[in-house]
Amino acid sequence: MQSLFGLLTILCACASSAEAHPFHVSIAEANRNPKTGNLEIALKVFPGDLERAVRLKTKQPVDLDKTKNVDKLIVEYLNTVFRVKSVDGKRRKIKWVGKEVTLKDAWLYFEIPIPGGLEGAELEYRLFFELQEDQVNTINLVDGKRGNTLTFHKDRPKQVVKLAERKSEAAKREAPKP
Amino acid sequence: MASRSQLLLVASVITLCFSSAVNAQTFQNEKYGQEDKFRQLEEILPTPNVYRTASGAPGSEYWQQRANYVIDVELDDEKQRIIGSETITYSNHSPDTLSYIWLQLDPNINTPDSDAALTATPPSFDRMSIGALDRLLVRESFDGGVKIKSVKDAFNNPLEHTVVKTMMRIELPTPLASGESTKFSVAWEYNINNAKLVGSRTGYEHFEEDKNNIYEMAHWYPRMVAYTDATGWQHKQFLGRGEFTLELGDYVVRITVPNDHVVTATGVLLNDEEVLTDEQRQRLKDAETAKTPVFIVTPEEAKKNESNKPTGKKTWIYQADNVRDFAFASSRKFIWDAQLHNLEGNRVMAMSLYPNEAEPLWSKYSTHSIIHTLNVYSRYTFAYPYPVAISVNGPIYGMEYPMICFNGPRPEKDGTYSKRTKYSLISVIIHEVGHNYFPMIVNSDERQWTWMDEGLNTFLQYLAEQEWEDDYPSRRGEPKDIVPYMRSRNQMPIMTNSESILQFGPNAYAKPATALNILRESILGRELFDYAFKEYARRWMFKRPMPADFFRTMEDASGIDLDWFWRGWFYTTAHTDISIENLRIHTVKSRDPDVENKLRREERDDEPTTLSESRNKELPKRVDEYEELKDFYNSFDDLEVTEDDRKAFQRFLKGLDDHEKELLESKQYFNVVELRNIGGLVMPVVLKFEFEDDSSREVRIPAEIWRRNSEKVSKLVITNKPVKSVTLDPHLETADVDLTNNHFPRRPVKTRFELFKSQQQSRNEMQKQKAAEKKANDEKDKSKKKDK
Ligand SMILES: [Zn+2]
Repeated sequence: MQSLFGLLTILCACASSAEAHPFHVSIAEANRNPKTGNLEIALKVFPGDLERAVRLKTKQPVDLDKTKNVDKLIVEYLNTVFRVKSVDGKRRKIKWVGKEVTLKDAWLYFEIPIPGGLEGAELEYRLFFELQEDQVNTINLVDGKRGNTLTFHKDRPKQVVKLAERKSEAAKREAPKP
Repeated sequence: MASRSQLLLVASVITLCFSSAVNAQTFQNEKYGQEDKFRQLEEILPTPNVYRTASGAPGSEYWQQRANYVIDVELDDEKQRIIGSETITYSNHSPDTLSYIWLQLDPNINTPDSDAALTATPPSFDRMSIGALDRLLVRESFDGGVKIKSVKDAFNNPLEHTVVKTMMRIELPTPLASGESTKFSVAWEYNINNAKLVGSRTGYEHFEEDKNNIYEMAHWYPRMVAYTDATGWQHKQFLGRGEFTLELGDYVVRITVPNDHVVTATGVLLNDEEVLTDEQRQRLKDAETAKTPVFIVTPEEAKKNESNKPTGKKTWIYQADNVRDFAFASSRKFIWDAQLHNLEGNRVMAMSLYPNEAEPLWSKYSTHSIIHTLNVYSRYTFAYPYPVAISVNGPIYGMEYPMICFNGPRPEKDGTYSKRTKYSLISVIIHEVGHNYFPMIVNSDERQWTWMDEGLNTFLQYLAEQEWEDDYPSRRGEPKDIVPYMRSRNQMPIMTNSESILQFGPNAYAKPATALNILRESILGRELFDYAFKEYARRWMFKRPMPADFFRTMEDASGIDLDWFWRGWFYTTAHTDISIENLRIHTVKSRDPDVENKLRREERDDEPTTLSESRNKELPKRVDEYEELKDFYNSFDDLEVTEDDRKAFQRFLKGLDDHEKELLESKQYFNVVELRNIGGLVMPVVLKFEFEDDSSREVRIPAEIWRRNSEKVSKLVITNKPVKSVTLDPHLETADVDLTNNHFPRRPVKTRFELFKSQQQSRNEMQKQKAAEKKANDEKDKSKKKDK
């Protein structure tokens, strides 16, 4: 609660409306690279949401195209909303790879070392919860032949990863050999 | 099967709910183990009747109620209140007798004890902003509920009434028989919400610098609840997300405001000579022939008006015919521009109202965007039938009402704006003006089905955006853009009630819009789709369609059975994931021993040498030591062509007729592609064959290829050249979620992350090289200079 009063007021109408962008969702693709053991993440967000969130955190105007060292600000923000504990209980920080910003989307690329594998790691994923009540963050996880989709919202910001055999893998296994 | 049960365990409750709800409708076939994905929707769709036909059109006895309103409303700018009284004339066109009627009291959603407030789950308290905290506290204390002051019949006798949450039941002294009308009046008032604190589709915005307000007023008067053949009284209460279900009717609305406000509203202004200056009226006349928007109130005039103090009140009278709702906006801050547009003979005044804070963006793009929307949408549906189309800037980001909509994007305080703000504004105006078609005129039930207006409208929005400029950055429409959502697991089918939808935007906007785009581009083709879609819009113009009416009309008018498509895309959460499992190539054997044996020898030679074979090669062999052990078989090659073989071949040729010989000599390749459906959605199969000579050929196969077996099929494609590789869905038109299995032979497909990283690395390599070249050149230059 301490940080609460340090933050700026943001103006945002939170109710859902018939607006053109009632997305309030983000989607991430996360694959664990078997060579490095790192979780490689491509996260797609609405650029406006990202600007508002970083502005709220850093208390300065942010333009994804113009602000200098905007990447650094994004990483600072991501480290507070995307928190990973590997199975050994250690918090793992983000290794920034880069971003691609278009008019439609901003794709953020980063890695997180995750020794011991994905299964049993703890993900806490609070992206944009401070902006909109009904934000839903979905992450599609793949670790070799196993995977899962996890969904995070304000009532469920933290989850321990459980994986199952991926459907396409099951199909491969069941397929008769030519 | 172990894998299947594991998957089920991981799947959330939602999936389980869905499967139990639909299980009643699916038909298990234990002897085959597959569901029939092409089964007709007979058990799911309502039985056709005299109101709604099997072809998807309004039936011979189609009816809908009608409600006409005469309203007096005062906007209290001091206390931000609405004080109103209305007379409703309600006509019962149903075959039923009604002993009570229902009204909607939408502002009751803003009472602290509303269902919307009580069922809201707590926000996330971590790192909560002051703004969010403020909103939370205001939401707890703000009383925006409607105070009903009186309900009276046509003779001023009080009518018994009961408020039930966001609705009110009125007892009729005598039941309203079929074909009769009743007249009654209601007086009410309520406090208007600050839209920045109590989020909504309506409200006011306060500007601290000049102490003025912009009001964007919607669902501000008690409105008739819809009574329909499909649901009776629509008794789904207003919870905030599921929008509106309304009756069409005619309105006369007298809006009283401070006398320095400018009011804009659904409908045409009846008393312009009373409320506008002569100059403003002249400018409006000029707008009728102008080629670009004309200011009715200029930015400078609006700026000056900001420091006004009202000296009294003024009443603006608006009339609107055949609309399902009435909204208005009021402020002294408004700039106002207008341009008359002639649309297939209909004269439409396109107008925008916005404060100076919206400049210079709004005067440049708003009215243009309105006219562009009317042009494109009218082409795909029907000519816009209303006399005005208005876009207003205020606190609401994007919300639609008949003839008028509220749009939020503004430039920065210094007047500059990013590209993103520009396109957000154009997109939101196209979207909200577009809603005039769905659901304002094609009057679907939004409380029940969000996709029927948002999905269809988002689809047309995509088409309109693509006609604004080349490569317009549309967010929704392209199949590849929906892939991450389709791949995700926490989903509901599109056919889910508005309030229960998960991931609202992708579910009710993007997925149906993309589905329709796929239907248009890859399944029906543009011509058939456009014909059927237009037919739907025209059949249901000013009427109330249900989902089945859309599904049935699209099939009826296109002549194509699409039940499989609606079933897969609208009633399930299955996705597209088709895999090329194998490619078998067959050729006709020439039977010529000189050709065939050579081929077989090549094949034999191509076989890899095993490890033991290669090591054993070195060993001394007994037959080499004792030559006498060798006989005929040691030197006989069974692929050696003998004279007997050649003679036999000549005899075979003689026995063939010319046609048979031709077939034998033609070099045809019989390619059998084996496909597997992993995602569950049945979809057309598009295959691109690439040949050894680098040429290619595309084969498009309708989804019906899956009709007997929806899990595995093979397709024979005959080519006259040897195939090098096959690609499935080469134009990314089916939203296939896994491209790694779309090639034969398999090609590694990089993840988005890997692609980015490799691009970045190669870019860096290039940069390094460039830097090195530059350095070398610089040094050359230096040494040249020294030489001089
Ligand atoms: Zn909409």
